[in-house]
Amino acid sequence: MYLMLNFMWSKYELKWRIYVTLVLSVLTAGLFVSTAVLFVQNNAQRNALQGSIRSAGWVAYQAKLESIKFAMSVEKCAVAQVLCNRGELGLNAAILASRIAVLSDSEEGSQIANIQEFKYDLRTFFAYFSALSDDLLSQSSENISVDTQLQIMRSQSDSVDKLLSEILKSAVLVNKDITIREQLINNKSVELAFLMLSASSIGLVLFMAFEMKRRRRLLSEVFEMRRIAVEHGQELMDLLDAIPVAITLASDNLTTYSNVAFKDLLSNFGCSNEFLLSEIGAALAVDARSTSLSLVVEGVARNISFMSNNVNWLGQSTAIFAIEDRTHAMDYERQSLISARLMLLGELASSIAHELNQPLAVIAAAAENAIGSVASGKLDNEYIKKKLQNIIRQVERADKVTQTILDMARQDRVQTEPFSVIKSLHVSIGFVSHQLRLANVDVEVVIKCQTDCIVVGGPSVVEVALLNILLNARDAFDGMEVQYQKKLRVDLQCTEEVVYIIITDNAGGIKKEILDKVFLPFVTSKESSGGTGLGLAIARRGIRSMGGDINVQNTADGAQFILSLPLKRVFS
Amino acid sequence: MVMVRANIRIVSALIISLSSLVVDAAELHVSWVMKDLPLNELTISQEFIESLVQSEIITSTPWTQEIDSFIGPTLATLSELFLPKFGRISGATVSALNGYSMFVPAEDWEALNVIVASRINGAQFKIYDKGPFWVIYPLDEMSRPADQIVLSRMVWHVSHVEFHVE
Repeated sequence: MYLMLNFMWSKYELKWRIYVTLVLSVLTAGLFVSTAVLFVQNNAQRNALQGSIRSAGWVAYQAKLESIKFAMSVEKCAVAQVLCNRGELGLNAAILASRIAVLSDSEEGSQIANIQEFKYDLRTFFAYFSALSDDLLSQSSENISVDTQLQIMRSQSDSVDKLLSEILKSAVLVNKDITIREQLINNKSVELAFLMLSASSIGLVLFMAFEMKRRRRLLSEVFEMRRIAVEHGQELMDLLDAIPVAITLASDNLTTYSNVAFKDLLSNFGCSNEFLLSEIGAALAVDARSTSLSLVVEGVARNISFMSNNVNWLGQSTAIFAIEDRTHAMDYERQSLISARLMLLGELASSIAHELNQPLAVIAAAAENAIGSVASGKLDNEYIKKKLQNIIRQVERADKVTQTILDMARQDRVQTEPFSVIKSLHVSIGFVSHQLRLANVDVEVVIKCQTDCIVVGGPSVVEVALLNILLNARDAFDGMEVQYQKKLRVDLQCTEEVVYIIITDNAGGIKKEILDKVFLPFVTSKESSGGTGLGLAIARRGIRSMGGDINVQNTADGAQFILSLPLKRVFS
Repeated sequence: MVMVRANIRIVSALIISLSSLVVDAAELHVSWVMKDLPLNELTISQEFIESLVQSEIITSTPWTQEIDSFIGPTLATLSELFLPKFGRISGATVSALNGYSMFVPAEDWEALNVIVASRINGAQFKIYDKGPFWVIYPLDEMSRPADQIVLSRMVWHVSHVEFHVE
């Protein structure tokens, strides 16, 4: 939970950081661009206005200057002929004409306000002064002595001077107006720039304030989530401590957590967790499916069952072990098994006695016959030898019976030998046949297998299971006064991989209430007759340890047990 | 080779100049100075100017109404009429008949082929048409609009060009 929250937060924070950086970058770029644009625009406007002012005013001023120069040249001629220079006068007239042309017919002149009103007069003056200059410059040798000509020049000079004065005044007024407009634009530009800068700054400050507030809120949420995660972690620890199963977590061979039950277990065993985990690791290394382990700690035999799995604990791959101390449970089970087996042997006592009585009777008869032969004085060696051989065969038969009983009573000996299921079936039926006969139960054995049905495991396990089922069937018939023939049918069927032993009776079946519980320990329908309820439980456990199983179902008139075992399979 | 050609031009200019005793408006005074020290000076006629390599600039100007054709030698061509033994020409002070003058840096005519126009649309300039000579920049071909500095260097009524040698 904590890691998930951490992961989600880092992912969110990364996205948020990118977003903030983007917004700040855009704002800053906007600020710079707007400032630069304003500066460039302002500068361009200023330059354009300055150019306009200079050009418009300059051409008017130049024209006015040239008109004054011309007037001075005319006055010089009027004062004295010796001072009069025809070339100079022509040059002044030509330059004045060129200036008048700029005013009337050029881009610069057109920028002067109301220039259209003066254009006609300007063009007239241009025509006059250009013609005058041509005249004066082409007759450089002649003197200007005619007063009339001078009077006309003076008059034209005065007229053009007045006109140019008006144009200059207009240009100056325009310049003044342009200057005012420039100032206005400058002021507006400054105000606009200031406004934009202020808006950007306020935007930035607001954004940062919003961002800080948001971050504080997110931070408090994160702290709250972390607190909850810690609480949940503590609750998980408490829960694990409350579980009566020993649990420990190990990462890289180091124990990261152990619950109370595990600590108690270590305390009881008197060993370290490293030792216990290394023993479990060794068992798993031998067989990854191992779930139990016997070990000697401080000279005491211990038995544990365990389960392990890999989990992600606080971001690390961690092995979790659940361990149960089975030492006492195994003792109890062992004792129960012994009790159940002894009870089974007790139940079989009459059968055993019958099985032993038969060879004993034969031995007794053979011995008596031999003694009789000796007493009669007829020492027939062959006869006596035959009797003695018969005695030996019967002793062997009795030995076989006792050996089988001993095998069944053996404790904790794990047998992994191949054996014939058919043989075990015969042994089992042989034990109970006497009792079944006494109970008037007709036994029918039908074997449909072509082979000996070899399985691997302990023959006594199969025989104990079969005996339990067969004796249960006999008990089911007990006390029943039935009009029909009590029957017990044993079918042996094989497939390629499995052998089935199907035991069917017609004793009325098992009560529905306990049908699905008959293989649980201490479940019995024979409380009155002293049944422990362990027989079928032990039978199923034994058969399952060989890879097989036992199941039960009711038929129309009885019960049917189906015991299955894998053929030719080796168990570890 | 360049020196020989330049000297021939100078001699031609002198012959043409001496043939006219009166200096009228259609003559151009050209001089070369190094820190106020005169190196050479020439007075050349319109005819001589038009005998030099001519360049044409077709452009509009703030003082004309249409796009016009201006023809004349480049300032570079004029500057090469005299080749000083030392130094290089940094620019020229161009003066007008009415006393107006302006410095034109050599970089301008090296980059823009600035000319001293003697004809507009094929005709000679009258003084009242801003003649007899006019410094013309190719305003319409320039990447940026001409500023006041460039416009101030387009001197009308040109009467004297003084090249500065550094």
